[in-house]
Amino acid sequence: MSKIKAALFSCCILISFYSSQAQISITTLAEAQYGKLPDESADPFPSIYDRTEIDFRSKGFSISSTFEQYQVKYDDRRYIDLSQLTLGYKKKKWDIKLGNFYETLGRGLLMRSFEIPGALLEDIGFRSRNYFHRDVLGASVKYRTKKATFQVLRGDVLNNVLPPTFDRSERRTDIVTAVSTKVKYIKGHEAGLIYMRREQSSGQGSASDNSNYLSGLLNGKIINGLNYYGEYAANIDNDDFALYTGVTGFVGNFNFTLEYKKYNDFVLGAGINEPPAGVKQQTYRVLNRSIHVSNPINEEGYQVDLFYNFKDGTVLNFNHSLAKNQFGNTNFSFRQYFFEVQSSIGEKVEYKAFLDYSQDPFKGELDRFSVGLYSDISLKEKVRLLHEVEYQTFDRGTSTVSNFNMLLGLNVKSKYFISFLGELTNDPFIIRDGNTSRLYFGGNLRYKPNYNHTLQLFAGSRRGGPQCSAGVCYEILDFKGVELRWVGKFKIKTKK
Amino acid sequence: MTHHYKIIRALVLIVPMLFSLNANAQTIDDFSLDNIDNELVSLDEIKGASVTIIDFWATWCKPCTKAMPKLNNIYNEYKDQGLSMIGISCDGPRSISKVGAVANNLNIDYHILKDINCEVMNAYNYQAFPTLIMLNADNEVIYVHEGFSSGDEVEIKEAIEAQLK
Repeated sequence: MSKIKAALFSCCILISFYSSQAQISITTLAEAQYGKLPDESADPFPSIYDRTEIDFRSKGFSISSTFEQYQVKYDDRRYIDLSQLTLGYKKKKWDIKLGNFYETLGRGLLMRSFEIPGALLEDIGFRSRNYFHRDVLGASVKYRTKKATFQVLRGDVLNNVLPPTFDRSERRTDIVTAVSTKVKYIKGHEAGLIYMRREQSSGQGSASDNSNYLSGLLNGKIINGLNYYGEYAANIDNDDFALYTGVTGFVGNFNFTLEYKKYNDFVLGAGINEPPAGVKQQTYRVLNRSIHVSNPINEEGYQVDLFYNFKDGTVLNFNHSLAKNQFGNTNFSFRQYFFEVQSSIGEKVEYKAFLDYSQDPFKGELDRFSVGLYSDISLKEKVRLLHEVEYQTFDRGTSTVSNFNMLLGLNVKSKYFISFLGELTNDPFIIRDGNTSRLYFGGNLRYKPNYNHTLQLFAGSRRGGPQCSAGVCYEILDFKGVELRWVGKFKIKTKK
Repeated sequence: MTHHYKIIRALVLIVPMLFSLNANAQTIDDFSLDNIDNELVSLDEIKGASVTIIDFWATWCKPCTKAMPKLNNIYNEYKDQGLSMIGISCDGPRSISKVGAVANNLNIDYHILKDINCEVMNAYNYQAFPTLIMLNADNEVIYVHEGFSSGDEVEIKEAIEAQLK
């Protein structure tokens, strides 16, 4: 913690304390683990991760701070860090932030910062643990009216792959300066223009790495039930560009979304932007794990998402997406066809089922079929039995890979939840020691005595791999052992 | 070890202050977001006379879309008694274009607002999807419900009725 940060933090607390009315909220996420990566030779070891946010609010002013720590026996992995400190003022048309903040410019073609609630990042290279967020450290001023929005910001963007054991200069190598304006020129229609300059922080790269970008966007409603969106961003200094556009609408109970994307060499800096993937975000385990991750270096494609809603509440969803990548003289075409039905049988059984067919030559996964059925059965008032089963198979080289998983869970009054998840795979990338398959099996027990506290205990082994949440994909590691997580909230308001 | 001392120093400042405070309800400050017709609306403009429910959701969150039709029924049952309901979508760039279509697909009658940076939810440290908060006429949070399982709508209705009495 720098002296400036510490002094600022202390001042903030005192200001808040002496203000006539203040709200304080404290949220802590603590996770204790005893275990190891299943393939690691080291013995199981204990570790504790904790993230505590302390927020103060008073009359439009806010002060937010986040402390993070990871305690483990390895010196190079543990840390204590004041990872975020923000001064904010938000009143009527003004929104001013100083310190750490999140901001997305347009649809993320130029810059997207984010926080994935509750997600911890553990990179296999560093084996430390940190909260999964990508923020900007600097200042932002936004002025917003019914007709227009103006914003100016400058800051260093976090490269969240590097844990807090690294210096700030290594974790924040991109300095961004941006000016953004959006105008609602007629009712329901908006046009915007963004200028952004990205520089390398001192000591990182050369001046030739600095670049300037311009982005134009349109957004509006053509007629009732038909909306459009489009954004085109380009590097002013060369031919790099990104285009993302789409229409969405409905006719009666039929709804549709059509999206088109074309990205050409548009990975900015250490990855400060996140152009939309144009591929359905899946929550089913086997599909979430094998989701196509957009590659803005070179990608073109589209997505069609169709829904139909029946009067009895049954919902049908069909999704098709195509993403083409070209690397050198090789072309890869990802194709996905997804169909889902959500419905109920009587008043006690709700279910959803999906069927998916994909071709993913970039991953070497061909003819990938996935199928699954989830059910939620009411046993008696406030007691529900959950059952989930999924199966996936695909060809990779000379192998035919199969993944199977099944969950059984019991939810009592939304206060107690117990579940068991088993996953079986014969994926040659996963199995070890000459075995023909590998089984992961774990149990979860969650106790939520009230809104303010949640306790969750996991024991067993769980499978890692790619995971996507809130539009962001990342890698989680296998784990075998015991894990206890506590999320606690404390909210206090002063009145004088 | 210097890090440890600095953290301890910070805690020394915080802890006595916490003990000097009275526990009261949290208050949600007025905020402004675009609705699905791209019109900027504020909480003060659309809040209910007696009760306002804010539901934080996302199109990709299955429990959220499971809850919304049931919340819509609650909204239609109590809207004439001073209840307003607001669904704040936290969809990011990847899925924000689907917000209007999903809301229409679920036949949602209440207000749907878009918060691409999820600023309102983050500002008050709500972390689960869906999270439903209930405000009284003074914008004080009087009830919070995280997650959604079938049957939870009964508990939500009970909380509304208790406030409307």
